[in-house]
Amino acid sequence: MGKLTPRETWGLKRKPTWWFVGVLALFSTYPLLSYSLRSNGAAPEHSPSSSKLEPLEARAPEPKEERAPAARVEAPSKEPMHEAGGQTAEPSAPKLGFTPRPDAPPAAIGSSFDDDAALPAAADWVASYTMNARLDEQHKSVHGSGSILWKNSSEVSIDKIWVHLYLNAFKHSGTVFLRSPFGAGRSGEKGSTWGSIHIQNFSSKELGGENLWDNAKPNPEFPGDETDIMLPLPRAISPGESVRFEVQWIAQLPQIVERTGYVGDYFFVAQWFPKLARLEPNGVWQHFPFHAQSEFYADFGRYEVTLDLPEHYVAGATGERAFERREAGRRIEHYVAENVHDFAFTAWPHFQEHEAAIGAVNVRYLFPPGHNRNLADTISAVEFSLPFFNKLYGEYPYRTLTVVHPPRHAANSGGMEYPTLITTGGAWHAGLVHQGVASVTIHELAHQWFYGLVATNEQRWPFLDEGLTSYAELRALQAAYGESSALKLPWANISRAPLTQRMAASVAHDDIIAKPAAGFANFSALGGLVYARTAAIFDTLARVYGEATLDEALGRYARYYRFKHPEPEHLLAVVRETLGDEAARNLELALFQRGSVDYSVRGLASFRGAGKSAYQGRVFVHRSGNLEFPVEVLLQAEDGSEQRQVWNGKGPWVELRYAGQSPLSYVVVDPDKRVGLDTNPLNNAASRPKYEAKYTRERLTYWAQVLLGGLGP
Amino acid sequence: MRRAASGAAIPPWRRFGAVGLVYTYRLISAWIIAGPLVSVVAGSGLLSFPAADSSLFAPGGSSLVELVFAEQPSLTAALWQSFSLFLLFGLLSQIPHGFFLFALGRSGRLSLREALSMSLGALPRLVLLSSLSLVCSCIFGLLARSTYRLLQSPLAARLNEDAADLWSLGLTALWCLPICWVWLLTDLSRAAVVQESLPLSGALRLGLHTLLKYRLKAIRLWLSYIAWSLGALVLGGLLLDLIRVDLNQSWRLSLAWLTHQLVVLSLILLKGTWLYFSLGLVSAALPKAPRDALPPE
Repeated sequence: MGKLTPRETWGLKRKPTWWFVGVLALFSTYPLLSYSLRSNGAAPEHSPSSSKLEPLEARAPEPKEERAPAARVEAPSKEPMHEAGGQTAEPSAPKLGFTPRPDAPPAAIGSSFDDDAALPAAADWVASYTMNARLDEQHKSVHGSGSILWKNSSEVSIDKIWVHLYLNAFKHSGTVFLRSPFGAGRSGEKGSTWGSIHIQNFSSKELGGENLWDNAKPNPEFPGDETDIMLPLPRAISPGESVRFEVQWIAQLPQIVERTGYVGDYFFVAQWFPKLARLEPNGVWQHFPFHAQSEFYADFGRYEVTLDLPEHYVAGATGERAFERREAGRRIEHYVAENVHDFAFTAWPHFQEHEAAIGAVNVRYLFPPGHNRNLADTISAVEFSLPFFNKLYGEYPYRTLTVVHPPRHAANSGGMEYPTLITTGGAWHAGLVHQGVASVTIHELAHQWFYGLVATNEQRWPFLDEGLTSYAELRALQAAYGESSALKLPWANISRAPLTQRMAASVAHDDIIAKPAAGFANFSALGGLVYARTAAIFDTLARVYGEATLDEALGRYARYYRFKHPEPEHLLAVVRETLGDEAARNLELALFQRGSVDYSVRGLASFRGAGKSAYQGRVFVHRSGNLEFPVEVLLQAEDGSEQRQVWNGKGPWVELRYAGQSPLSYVVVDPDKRVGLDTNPLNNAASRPKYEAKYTRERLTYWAQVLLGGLGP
Repeated sequence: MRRAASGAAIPPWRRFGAVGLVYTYRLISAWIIAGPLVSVVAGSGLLSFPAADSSLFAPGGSSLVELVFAEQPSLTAALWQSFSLFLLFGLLSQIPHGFFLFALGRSGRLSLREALSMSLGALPRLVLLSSLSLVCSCIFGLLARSTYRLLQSPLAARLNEDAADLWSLGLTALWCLPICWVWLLTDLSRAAVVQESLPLSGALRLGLHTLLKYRLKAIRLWLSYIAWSLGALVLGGLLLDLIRVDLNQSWRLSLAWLTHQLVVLSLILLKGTWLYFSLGLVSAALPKAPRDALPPE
């Protein structure tokens, strides 16, 4: 899902408390730097270098033996059911911790996917929906009808199907979603009215025409929950065979919770129709109840939806608006979306509308009155990031994009992604202080690639969509706004990268990242690990192995797996292919084994030398944790001269030698801050002379003097 | 207690000794207040880097963020210590405050002993006055907060979000008027305490009388003082931006120190100027004949 709202982002576990901004203000200079978008996407001066560190072996001791990365261990969690051909599958293989799919990654993808020439033009349409939706403004419900054309794309015959009724998560207090102590999820509240889906008909002429729903059974693993429904079929459906299901239902919307529902006359309608679970090629159904922390997984298809709305409403939806007309006091809008796997729409009488083209894409902005500043920020963010992501991850294949900024009273529907439809959010004045609106917008837009086009299992592997999206967001934010990519006060600017890195470091030892969404202790843990730490991992890979190389890796991954459903193995294979074994190993350890690293300098000695060098020195650099990144070590002499050596990071420590004409004064490991995952970068240096914190003294004394003037003379 | 000579206020630029004393007090107390936080930075490992703690001021805030995350518990504790010290020195600052006022309110040569004796004598009343001012400001602040909350919903139902917020804020800002009024009254009453050696109630009455009698002049002078002070702060900030202490060069740090201290000195002189005028206003507001009718001490 969606991006954490700015409040949630700052509210991650072990967050800096209220005084954080105060400290920033006291310490900061008055940079008055502009934060205008850079149209060329060039990285700012502190961006990671595109050059790759070439490890020059220092005199390192024997490397410490690490556990094999394949021996993954996962924390206990409520696993989704995996069923093959209607039979419950064998428990997951303990070695890998999950059921590997038969479609193993190719040995090499090759450079043909480094540009858009080989991009697939369309997805394999497995589940296509044709629906009519009549919005009942008074009763806050949607009356739906239509058909689902489903193809058995697996290699086995199927005698039952699984259908998700996500809105039933809000049917009563006993659902998996609401009985979770974290039921508030990402929306802040559980909602104050119930929501549900009532299926009136679910039949198929090919299967005899009877209402199959009479035999529907909720997943028995989760009593009381009706979000995961099994439908036995009168006969088996052969591989490759298609079936059309006729459906009719009523979706009762809750007050907005988890990005769906209504508030007053505002509607954001998502997860509103019966949605087929995804059938893997090996005949395993990926179905699961709607958990407060998890999201979705579905097949690609064609969605054709006719919305029937009150005439005075302004609507936005997934896909292109094919036509609209008015009849009998109603507004009829017809949307078509191809190669997508979900459909959502919004309707509100007070939306302001703005349209602009970016290349071949018509971008439609729906925003509340009084949000002109946010509109400008949103337009800037989209104008920068759409071409930016096009270049990095392959051309956006749709001709439309709708960006919705919900009004304040419906803020809980903000920060969410659907195919060709994203919601952003933020107060009308947010842009004065921080990049929250741009950040949410860019994050949701990045989801069009990592969720929309590369349709990973969000419930099973949330890091594959949220983690990669968070990295893409960080990448774009840094490129667009540089040092002001988080906070942009007139006298203080804060970059997003160090914030992400420190948030990531603060949760380094808490849990593994690569696990199902429902397996995290709470949403704060998921946020810190899946969002921040995954982004920091990829940020470190970019800084250590070269940003261009990582761009190539993720670009290759995003292009090759467009309209597919890859798993972690596929991502790791691409990283191994492009960045090498060491990077892939570090990535795997970081994702699956709480991989962490902390470099430190623990010894510095400088003494008069013999021979040509007037002075010599010895330095001891340590590494703790199971990640092994090559790092530079800066040796600075008293006369200011510098020497740089590279340690390949193998082993727990290394001794480096210095020889020069001036006494060795400073040693700094990773002076360019490439290893953003470093748990404690403040122990990365040692020096001979010790100084007073005179800069801090000066600044704080001044502010104390000024503040005292408010109380005294 | 002896009364200070009234009606013969001396501008601060002719009382450099008093200005110097106030400046010294502020410098020393601010140095001590900053101590706990400076210690945390010094112990954080940041000083082992070539850039030392100048990197805290670098654009992008990388080191600052690292410090805040790594030293959060220590920083929180240090912040509370500094805040406590700030309150303590704020309280004690009433002594140099009284001294300053006394020095400004008396012509001729001023002995340090006499001035200190006077200011110490006035200390309880000055502290009470400051406390009263603080309490009143807080009450008005709470009223302002309630007003904002009360206004927001009905306005939001009728106006756009930004208009509703701005109207709420604008109407709430009206509470700034009584708060400013309290601050003005406090300064005038302080002047009355020192200038006329009045008890608290008498000083308040005289301060109020002065404020009512010379309201336009008092407000104009006070606003000028506030505006110039803000101007000095902003100018200092802009100059500091040009100095770029994050580049870690000694001369930049020295220049920043000099700039900041000049700003502080300017603020003290501006405050002194305002107090000088307020002393004059208080003297002028005193009724000529019934002056002795004021409550005796």
